[in-house]
Amino acid sequence: MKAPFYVAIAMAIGLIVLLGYFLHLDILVNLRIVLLEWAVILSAVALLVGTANLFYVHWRKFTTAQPNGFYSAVLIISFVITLVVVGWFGPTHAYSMWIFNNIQVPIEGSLMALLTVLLAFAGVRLFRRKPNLISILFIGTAILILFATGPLFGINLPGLSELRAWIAQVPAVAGARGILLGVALGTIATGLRVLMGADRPYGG
Amino acid sequence: MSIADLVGAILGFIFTLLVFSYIIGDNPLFRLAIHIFIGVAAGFAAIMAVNNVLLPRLMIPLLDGSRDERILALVPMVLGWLLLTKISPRLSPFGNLPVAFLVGVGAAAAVGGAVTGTLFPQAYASINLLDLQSAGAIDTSLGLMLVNGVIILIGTLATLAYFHFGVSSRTQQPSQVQVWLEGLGQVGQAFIAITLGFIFAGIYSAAMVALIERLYFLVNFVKPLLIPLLPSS
Amino acid sequence: MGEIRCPMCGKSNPAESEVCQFCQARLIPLVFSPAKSEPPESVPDEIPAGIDAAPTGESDWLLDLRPDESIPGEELPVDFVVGGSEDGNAPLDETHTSADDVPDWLARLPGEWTKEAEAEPLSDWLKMETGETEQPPSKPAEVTDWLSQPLPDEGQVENTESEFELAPGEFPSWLEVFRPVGDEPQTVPARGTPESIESSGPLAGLSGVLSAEPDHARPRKSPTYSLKLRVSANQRTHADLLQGLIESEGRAQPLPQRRGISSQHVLRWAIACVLWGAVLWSVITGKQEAPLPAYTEETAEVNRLISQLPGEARVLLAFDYEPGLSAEMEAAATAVVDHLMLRGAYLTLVSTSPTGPILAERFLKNQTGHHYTSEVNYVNLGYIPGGAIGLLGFVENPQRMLPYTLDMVAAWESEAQPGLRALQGVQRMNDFEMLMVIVDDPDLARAWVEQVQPQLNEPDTLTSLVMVTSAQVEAVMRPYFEANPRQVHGFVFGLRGGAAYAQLTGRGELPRTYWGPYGFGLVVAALLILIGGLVLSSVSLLARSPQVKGEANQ
Repeated sequence: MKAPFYVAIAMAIGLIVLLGYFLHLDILVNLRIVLLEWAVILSAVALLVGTANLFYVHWRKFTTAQPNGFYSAVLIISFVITLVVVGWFGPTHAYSMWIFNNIQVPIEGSLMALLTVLLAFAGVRLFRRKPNLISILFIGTAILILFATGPLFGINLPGLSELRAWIAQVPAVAGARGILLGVALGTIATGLRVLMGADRPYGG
Repeated sequence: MSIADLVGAILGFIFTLLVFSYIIGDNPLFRLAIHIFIGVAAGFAAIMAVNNVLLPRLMIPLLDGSRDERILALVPMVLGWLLLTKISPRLSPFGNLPVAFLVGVGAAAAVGGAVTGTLFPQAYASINLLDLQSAGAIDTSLGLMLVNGVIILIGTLATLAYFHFGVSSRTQQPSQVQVWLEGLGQVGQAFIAITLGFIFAGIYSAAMVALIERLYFLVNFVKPLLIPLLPSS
Repeated sequence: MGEIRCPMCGKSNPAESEVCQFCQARLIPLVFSPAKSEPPESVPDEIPAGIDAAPTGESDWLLDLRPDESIPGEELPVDFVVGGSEDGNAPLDETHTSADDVPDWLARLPGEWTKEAEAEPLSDWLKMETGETEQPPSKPAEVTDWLSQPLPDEGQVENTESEFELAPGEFPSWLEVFRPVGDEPQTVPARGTPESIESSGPLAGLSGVLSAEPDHARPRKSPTYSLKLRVSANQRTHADLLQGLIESEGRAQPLPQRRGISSQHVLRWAIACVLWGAVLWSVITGKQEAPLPAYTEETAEVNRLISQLPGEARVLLAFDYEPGLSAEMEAAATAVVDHLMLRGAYLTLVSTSPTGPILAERFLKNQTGHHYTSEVNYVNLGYIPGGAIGLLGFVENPQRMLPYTLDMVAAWESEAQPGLRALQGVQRMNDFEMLMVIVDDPDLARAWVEQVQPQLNEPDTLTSLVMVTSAQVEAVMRPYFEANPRQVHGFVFGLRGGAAYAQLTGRGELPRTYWGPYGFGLVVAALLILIGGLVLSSVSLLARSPQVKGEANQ
């Protein structure tokens, strides 16, 4: 099948879904729901493809005795054990919850905790650069918010909480709103390019 | 505490220390923990996709549904099989059709959401900034709200000006509008710096809670082991 | 002597062979060879002498060209190669066509050409180059005055030629442009090769005529061409280089050797020791108890909305966070969900993250003090894949998107079954009294607002959208809350928000436990960044100043 066919599919499907936001015709609504349902199922299949690919890549690394093949073996074993236990007993069974609570949550939580050191390290290194107004504003705001977010040794510095609230409600809102509008405009531009066939991330 | 809980606590303790060892530098213990984590996470994701989506919404309608349901389920079935060909580099072109389908729906959802959920309401919110009556400014200081509203409006416009996409002029002299936009963009950069500094502090706060939770876990795990060793006073 | 290398397949053949024994390619070029009676001037001017040196025509310059000559034979399409010989055929036939058969204008051409050729006899240097110095021309040649003068180095040239054959550099520069190129042997007669006499057709009796019958009419095995690609050494080198580059793409590159212990390592360890040491001390001693923060407007709004919920309200609760941030999200949401449970709300749990439904179960199990039972007080509908697509589908028709619970029980009310209690009376999103999203990702939070909130704008909709977010989402969520009209009706952010909510309700153990060490850790971190940064910048400034001075002195 040629690229124009895929473009036509993407455009037609996209237009039906997009029109559903603005036109509330029964036929359009029903068609849109069916398309969305299919897309959701396909998203789940895509997730499966991702995990299958992960398994395949590490299987190949392990069987071809590449460097770090041991880690691939570990990954495959943990993947298969999880697959068997959670698949057999169900995701909310006590065994599945045991794996989740004692392996996944501690590791992910610890990774997040590592950020405290790494971000502080990055903040310190920021001072090594030649300071300019923007970097001073960035790090100054960050330090001020860090001071003002938690209890300051139980000391109530007058105006600190109010200053935090003002930054959160005025300049940060202004910047965030500008960023949100910019992101929305960028999303619209990119999405329309895809819908018009100018960008074809599906190949062709 | 049951045996399972004890073994689980020991595992959690070990994994926490393995990950924390990254502070010393990248090391085999850290990598071991990360690979176990990836395997477990992938296993959970795969089972959730099968258990929660493919079985109830694809297999049950196909096997146990009405005629219409079967026909409707047949399409994603075929598309799903085509998508599975993406695993093989040789067969992957067959997977372009379902990808085109997903991309079309995804782009439409993104555009529709951005327009109806962010662009119009947020633009409207910016316009309404100086509508003090509807903002409920009766009880609060009117002047302060006005000043804040003006700052937010300028900040929003300046941030947008910083993000503006335009073609650079071929002529040597930039136009008046370009000079004006660049100046406004500089102001916008300051607002962006403040916002990103705010977000940085937010991420740090989130990480700090994670650290505290892990340290509480470690302390609670070690404390019962150490108490018998401590001299009773 | 004795062997001819096939230009097509490169294999050796006996010298007398006309065609290659292996690939049936022609070894002797199909060219016009003038009759002996014809004047030597019919020999093209650009014929190099070397061609006469051997029947195979292997002169130095031709030997140089040989590899290039063989490659086109391999690389060019077969049609082109065959056509080349046919093209060579056409003018030859024309040349030998009798004057009667050609039009007048064309008939005059050979005569004029012959006259011109006769008027311009072959010069000595050309004789030498064509190798005919020893063979007198069949017609007397009158040499022009300027050419009849002996060349200054004539003798030397002859000696040189006899020793080294003809070197390309010996051509006069103006003649260089006429030098034959690679395909020249096909148009040059090969001296010494047996010339066939045409035996049939209108050209019967003529020698040197391109023989049609033996070549084309004779039945023979169709030629086979070697499919082996012939590449030059240079091309091979480039191909190997490209192949190496492609192969290296898929190969994991070894990590660069790290230096032992750098100042960066020391700095990182120092930060880790100070920060983690301080927080650990706070956790162990528990001496950093601090008053919970005062609530803010957005937190108070959430509290007000929950307080106003009717009894047995249906609430959609989305658990959209990752296990890594479960500590913060559980601390932020515990007091809020506790409040919902106190109000007796029926909860419907969903998630757009694969691990979300499991986190939801874990969360509800930790909510001690409430006896919420699955499929009675709450229903876990599980995972919605596809991000924004899934959300849009769920908003459009929740029953079709998530028809079963996580345990594969039919969840919704229909004609066949009453459905689970938590979902009774719910057909669409607006039938929920409240949508509460517990989310850690700014993009995901935005997707919820963008896809769900516009659906709640319908008239007579009383559904409120509230969020419990990570601290990192606060900046993104606030514009939606500060908008007029509000897109998000209230939100609780991070541990600070959770602690403020706990302050409001007087419940929630987790945020109270974490609050003291949290504040202590944040202050230590801020001081570390500030002091460490200032020290580091001072050190680097001091290190830079001698360099600047040195540069200035130079």
